[in-house]
Amino acid sequence: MYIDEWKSQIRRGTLEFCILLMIRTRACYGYEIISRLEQWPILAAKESTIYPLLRRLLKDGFLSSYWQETTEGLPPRKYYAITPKGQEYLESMSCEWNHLSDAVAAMKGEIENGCDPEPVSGTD
Amino acid sequence: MDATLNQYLEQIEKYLKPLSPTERADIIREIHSEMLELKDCQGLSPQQITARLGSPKELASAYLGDSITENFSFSWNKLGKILAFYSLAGLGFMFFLPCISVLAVGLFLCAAVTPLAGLVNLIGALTGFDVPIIMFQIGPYTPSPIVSFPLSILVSVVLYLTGMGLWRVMIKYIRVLSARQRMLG
Repeated sequence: MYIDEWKSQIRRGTLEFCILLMIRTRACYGYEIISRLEQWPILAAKESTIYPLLRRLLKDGFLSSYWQETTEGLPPRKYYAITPKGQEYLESMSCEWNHLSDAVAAMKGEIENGCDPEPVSGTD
Repeated sequence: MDATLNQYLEQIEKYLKPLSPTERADIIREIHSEMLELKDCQGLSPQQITARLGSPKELASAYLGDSITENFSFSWNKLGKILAFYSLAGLGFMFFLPCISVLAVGLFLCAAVTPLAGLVNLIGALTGFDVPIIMFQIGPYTPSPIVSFPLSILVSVVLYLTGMGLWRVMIKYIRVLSARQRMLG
């Protein structure tokens, strides 16, 4: 289905952004990130997507990590925290996201006002 | 720790062999941590856990794919990872990747050998030895050994750049593959 492909592309494009947004306030561990993303179906992603992505962000220097041996028989967890470089990257992405958001809002506004646009063939 | 889960970890460790030992150990540790989380905090059964994580092959493949496509560099180690990756990638892609990687490596080797041949030919000419097996010929045109040498360097550069170009195409193809795997998963 075309919409599924599109959703998948959107998710691929925004996952890094969402993860950094999540981590900017406090460090999170892998499973926690996956669970929180699941709250929004369009962002839900599997371990095989999230863990390699976290490792890449780590290698690129946007995240730092540490292992925490938690108490009370809880499993040890690998926490990811944002770095200054990650903070900068996040701010750039935020900025670009706002541009995108404004553009889409403007186009939607035009359509709702009944202005111009040529109907796209095959859609309804 | 449950036998099913231990076996799962052992299998992943096997598929992740191309990675460095530290990297591999850290990945296993993290997967192990999530397994414990799912088992103890979420109350999932081992079967549910392995179902959720996907097959060890798929999970390892996801890590390998990412490791390969970080950059365009060439190394024998990376070639090993690529071989491991497309042995996991499935039948549909088993033709294209081996062809391109073998071709790229072949071009690199030719690029290395060509100037050496030109040099041997040049030394032969300068010292009066005729080296019959090494010849530079483009159609009817046979440049002298003195001219052949810089030409051989030029050819070597062209071969090297072509090899590099093919290598990059292959990496991009693997990126697409990985992305598609993730989408289907």
